[in-house]
Amino acid sequence: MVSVPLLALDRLSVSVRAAGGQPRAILREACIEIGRGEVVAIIGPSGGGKSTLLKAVLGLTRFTHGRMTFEGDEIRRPHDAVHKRLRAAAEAVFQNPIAALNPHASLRATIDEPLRARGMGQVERMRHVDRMAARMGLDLDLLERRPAAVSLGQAQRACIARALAPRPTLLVLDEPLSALDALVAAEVAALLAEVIGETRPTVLFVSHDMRLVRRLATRVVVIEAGRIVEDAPAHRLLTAPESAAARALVDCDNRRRAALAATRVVRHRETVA
Amino acid sequence: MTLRDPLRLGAIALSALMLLLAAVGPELAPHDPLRPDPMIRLAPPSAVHWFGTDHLGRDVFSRVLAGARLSVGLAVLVVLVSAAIGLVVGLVAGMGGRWVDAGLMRVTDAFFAFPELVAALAIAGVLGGGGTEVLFALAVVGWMRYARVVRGMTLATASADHVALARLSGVSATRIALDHLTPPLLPAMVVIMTAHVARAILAISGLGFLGFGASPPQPEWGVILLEARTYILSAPAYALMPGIPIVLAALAFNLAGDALRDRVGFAEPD
Amino acid sequence: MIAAALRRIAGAVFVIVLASFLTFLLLQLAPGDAVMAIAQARHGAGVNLDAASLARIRAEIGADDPFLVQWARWAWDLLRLDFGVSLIDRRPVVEIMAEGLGRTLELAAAAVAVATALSIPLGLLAGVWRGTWFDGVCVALATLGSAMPNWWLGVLLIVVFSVNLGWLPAFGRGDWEHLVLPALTLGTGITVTTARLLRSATIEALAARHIAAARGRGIGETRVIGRHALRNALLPVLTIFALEIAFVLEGAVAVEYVFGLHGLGLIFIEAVDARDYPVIQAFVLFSAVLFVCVNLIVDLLTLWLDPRTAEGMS
Repeated sequence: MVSVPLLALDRLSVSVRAAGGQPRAILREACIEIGRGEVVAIIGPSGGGKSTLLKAVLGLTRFTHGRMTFEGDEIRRPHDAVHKRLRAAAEAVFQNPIAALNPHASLRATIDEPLRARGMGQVERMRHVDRMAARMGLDLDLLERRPAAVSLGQAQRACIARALAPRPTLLVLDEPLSALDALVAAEVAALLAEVIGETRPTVLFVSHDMRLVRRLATRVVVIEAGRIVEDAPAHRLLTAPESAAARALVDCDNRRRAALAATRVVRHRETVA
Repeated sequence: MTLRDPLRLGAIALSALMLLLAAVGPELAPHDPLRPDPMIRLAPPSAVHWFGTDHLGRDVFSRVLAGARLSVGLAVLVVLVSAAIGLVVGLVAGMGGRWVDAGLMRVTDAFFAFPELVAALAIAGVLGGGGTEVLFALAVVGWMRYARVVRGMTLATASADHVALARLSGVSATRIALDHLTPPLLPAMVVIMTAHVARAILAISGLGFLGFGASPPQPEWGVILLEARTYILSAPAYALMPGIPIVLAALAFNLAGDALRDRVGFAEPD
Repeated sequence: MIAAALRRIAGAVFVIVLASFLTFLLLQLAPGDAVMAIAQARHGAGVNLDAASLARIRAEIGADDPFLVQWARWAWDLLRLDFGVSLIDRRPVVEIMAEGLGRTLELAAAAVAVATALSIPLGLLAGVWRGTWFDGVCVALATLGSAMPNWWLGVLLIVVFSVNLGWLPAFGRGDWEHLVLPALTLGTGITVTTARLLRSATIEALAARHIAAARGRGIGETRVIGRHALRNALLPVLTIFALEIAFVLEGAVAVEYVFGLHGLGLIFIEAVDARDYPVIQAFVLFSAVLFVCVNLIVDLLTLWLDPRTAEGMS
């Protein structure tokens, strides 16, 4: 028996109509098959349609053409039975933790929300939230605070804890680090990698941060101007990118790493001397 | 601006006093508001009877105090019921998608088309007058403002990421409405509600004065004025005095509403 | 712009249809059997009613048809300006309304004159002299006025001008003197709202950028106010005038009651008192249609004067 992909997009297109204007294609005929346990990074230049792809999968944007199947069943309309199943299996982390957290709820209530929606008992929920928070490095007293009273990094950790708490089959991350400053981003990236390693969800994520891509991805999809221009295993794409867009991103990242390595050497020499 | 703040503090204090009167007013009355005394009919204001006596010799000041329960208490009820209806309609319109929204807003427009007093009078009159009937009539004409504001703010909040994420997590619409959409509405609701108490007091006494409020002999400010109307030429004080608490109460709640509005920084859209 | 105008007209028509439905629904609120209620209103509460006369009323109002059919029939009659006959004296409702309309129009014209004469100078000057003692007094009066029910103001005016000073008659209808107090009562009630709107409109207009530019070019203050501020305040003034008309009918109910003027408002109160449903419905719907039409006209004028609003609203 051929294993059925968890999620398959077949020539999926999304176009939006600006007020009074002509429809504009954001995503053109995207074809991707994602198997269980894969960690797929979507990279590419800004405005290329990466986030739109995530939104279409989650049902936050309507797709205009094409097919989408979840566990082999076709999603015919947004929010039909199959799409509900997909959404029930999925959790997401967005770019801006401030917008993603209910400003009127404590972090505990926010992390608790998906568990409660799934009907978990109260005592179990409480323990689970404590455990998830601890795993994400959030102090228990932070949990009782509102988002306005915590740092951006803490807020994003809460978002990740919220997404992973119900052990989703599919985890969708949309630029999870871009609102954070470099140091905090590195911490959150490390934690994210650990937790994903432990719970092993299927992950679909968009990031500009090539470090996160190197760290998490088993496979990389490159989108440029609404089209998928390359789709390859992470080790192959990161070492020998074929498309121009991928090459530009990988080269840029290699230069950064080289520069970083050079400063490390310099620093090392300074400390030695 | 130095004069404004004490004025506003005074307004808030007076509003609180009015609410207190609604609770304990009848107990504070120096005389029995219902006991007639034929010997002192239509007496002018005096040290014993501050607002004079009415056509049956009842103490008008006591009747005014006792009337606070109906006039102010009922106004508060009207506001609570209206706000609850408007909240539900506004949330459903804001969350229900394009067609539900368009439909509910047209219905809201239709309710808005009737002048408040005309519609309330017709409803209360057809129902037959009385406290419950007045409450029903004024709630029917009073919920639309809340619905519009709630709907507008709900549409704005509903597009936020945290609502999309809650939906994704399978959180029920009711819970989303309660946990995500309602809390940001509350300051605006309180502002509208405070000013609405003033309008409700005016409307209740208006219905009473026109003969469709609480039934006599139960004291209510408008009803007292209705009874006094016949004696406007012979006992002008009796015909005027019970109006003072109406004006004071409406003024207090209006100013308190303004003060809260500035505090909250909420401007009601027209 | 034509499309936006048509959309607004269609919206208004739809609201009127819904409003007529609500007005018809009003009858369903009547406690007990509507037929019985009508019979009692006509023959008196204590009278024993035979089955035949009940059946006659039942047939007369078509009480056995489905609700929507009843509504459609009623609405169809309305379109032909047939509001039915009064349950009390069997006269056509249109005739009753027409009688009252003349008197109410008289009162309305006088009140709008009072309101316009008061609110335009007061609102405009309070806006221009914002923050002065004059503005303070105007704002205080408006605040006080909005807390004062107009029927009580009527009583107050009667006590002062009829009882204490003896200058003017308190009740009834006769020469112009009988109209002074009611018109003042209704007119000042409207002024409270309109003067306030005009004041904020003036402040806004004066704050607008091109006024500042005109000042910068050294154009005299009077001309700034006259030429520029007034033009910008024209729209609000139109709105205000329309609002006055809409308020007048509502305000007339209580004012006519206080002063015993037998206009539409008093007819309405008497109809409610007697449960004369056709008259009640006619007045309620009339007031709603008037309100919607006035709003529509303001909307269309706004659209015409300031086409930018076509996009902002939907």
